[in-house]
Amino acid sequence: MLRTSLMVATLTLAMNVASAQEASPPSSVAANAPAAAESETQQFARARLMEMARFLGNADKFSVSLRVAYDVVQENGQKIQFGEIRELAVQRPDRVRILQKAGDGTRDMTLFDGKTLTIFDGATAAYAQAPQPGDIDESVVYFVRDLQLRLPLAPMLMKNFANELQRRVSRVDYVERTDLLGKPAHHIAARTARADFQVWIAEGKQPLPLRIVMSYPAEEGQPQFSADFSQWNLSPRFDNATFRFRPPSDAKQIVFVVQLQTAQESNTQTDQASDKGVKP
Amino acid sequence: MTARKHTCIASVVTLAALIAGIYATPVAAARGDRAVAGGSRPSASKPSASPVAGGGFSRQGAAATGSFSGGSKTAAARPPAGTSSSNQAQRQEAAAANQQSRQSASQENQAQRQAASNENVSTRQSGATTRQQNAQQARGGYYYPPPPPPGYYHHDDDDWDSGSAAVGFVAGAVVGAAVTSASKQSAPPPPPTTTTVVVTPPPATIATLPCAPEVTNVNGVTYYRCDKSYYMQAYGSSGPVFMPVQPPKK
Repeated sequence: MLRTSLMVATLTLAMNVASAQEASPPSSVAANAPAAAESETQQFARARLMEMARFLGNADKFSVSLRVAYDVVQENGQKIQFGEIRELAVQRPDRVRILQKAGDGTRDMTLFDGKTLTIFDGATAAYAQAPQPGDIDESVVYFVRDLQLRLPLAPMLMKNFANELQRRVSRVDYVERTDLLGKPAHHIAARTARADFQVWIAEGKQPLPLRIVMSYPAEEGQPQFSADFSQWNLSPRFDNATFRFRPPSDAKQIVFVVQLQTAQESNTQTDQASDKGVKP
Repeated sequence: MTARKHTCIASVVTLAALIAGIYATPVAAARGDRAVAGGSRPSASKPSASPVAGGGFSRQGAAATGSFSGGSKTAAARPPAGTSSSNQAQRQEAAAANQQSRQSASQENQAQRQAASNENVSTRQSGATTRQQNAQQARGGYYYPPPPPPGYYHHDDDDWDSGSAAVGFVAGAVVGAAVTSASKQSAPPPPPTTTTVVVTPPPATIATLPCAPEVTNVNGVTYYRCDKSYYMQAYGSSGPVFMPVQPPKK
């Protein structure tokens, strides 16, 4: 009987140790390990980072609130910090709504309703629209790259977030296991070609980002961007009105700057062709 | 008695002027142009909700993008100030060294991805040229851009969120797609002849107009006129801005 109890106790202890090793970072930290051959700790850090990205990418829908702060280095070298609150509502495959309240009280909105991309400026009641090219991933790229509009942490909205991150991140390190606002979290540091970032990821079955701090070392003044995530909801209740744009009665539709620029180019080229007697 | 009355009135007037001054200052500040240049967020057209906001500070910068790929490829140059110049130089040197090291590490992957994406870009550019020629026929009317061609987004471009990195493709892809005349959309497109991509610098936008403009509407397009210059309002990365345009052709 005693022998059986001892065996059970030993087995239980062994299982607990194994379980703890899965959830905890390896004790050995090889800070100077070459990027090509990641240390055990770095592999653990990368695994946590990718786990977070896959978890978000696989979420069918979610809502979250971001308290954002970012530096802007002025022409005279002075670094000024601005803040805003961004309320995100995401429903795959193609719906996104971002309500933004800036530090000066202005309220703006970015909306992907499945057919149209809309960006609305609350202070001037001006908005611009473009047809939505496809799902969230395609729309995010079109919005940021082609329409040249601001969308902080844009890859985080994408189903393909893990791949987007994997391609960019050249080095990952595990800083420490810590508590953030009372929640146990993995503190991870990573680097891309032109940005360094730290992310705090919640431990447990829902590896959600709790905070991210990005810095741009090659930029003048090395400005930082940070966001604290709160009110994560992975089963929010959205209705048709959530992703519907109803412009105020005094709203006016304007074009995108990139449209205007390219229209001018087109007109100039046409003028030049006309001057030469050449039909376009 | 009369002298005392005059003194009283003078005191009241002075007090009123002081109070007016106290309240006028923050109002003026609030109306002040937060943006400095280059398409920064306009404050005159975007009045602040806070009485102490304003101050002429720009809101645009590398960190505002919150990009994983970096804010921009070209950091704004500014003269080093006073005693900090040495530190600044050291920081820049260190940053450059780190940057070089990381870029070197990622160059191989980047090269592989670029090779893979060249074919896709070529296909997109070809389509863009067709649309560009459509747009060249369009004059006057402005319409929102049609969606990009199918399959234009591939998961092999890891620089799409880096701000200026996008400009090359944008100029090529959106030149044709961005603005078309609604009245001429049914016209058959001419056959593509070249695949040239025109890369141009970002447009010179201003946050606020230099005058109280004369507003005119031509073919459904609103123009703002200051003296001999015409402007249109357009949505940029930091919100609505004004952009100089050619005079409308009526």
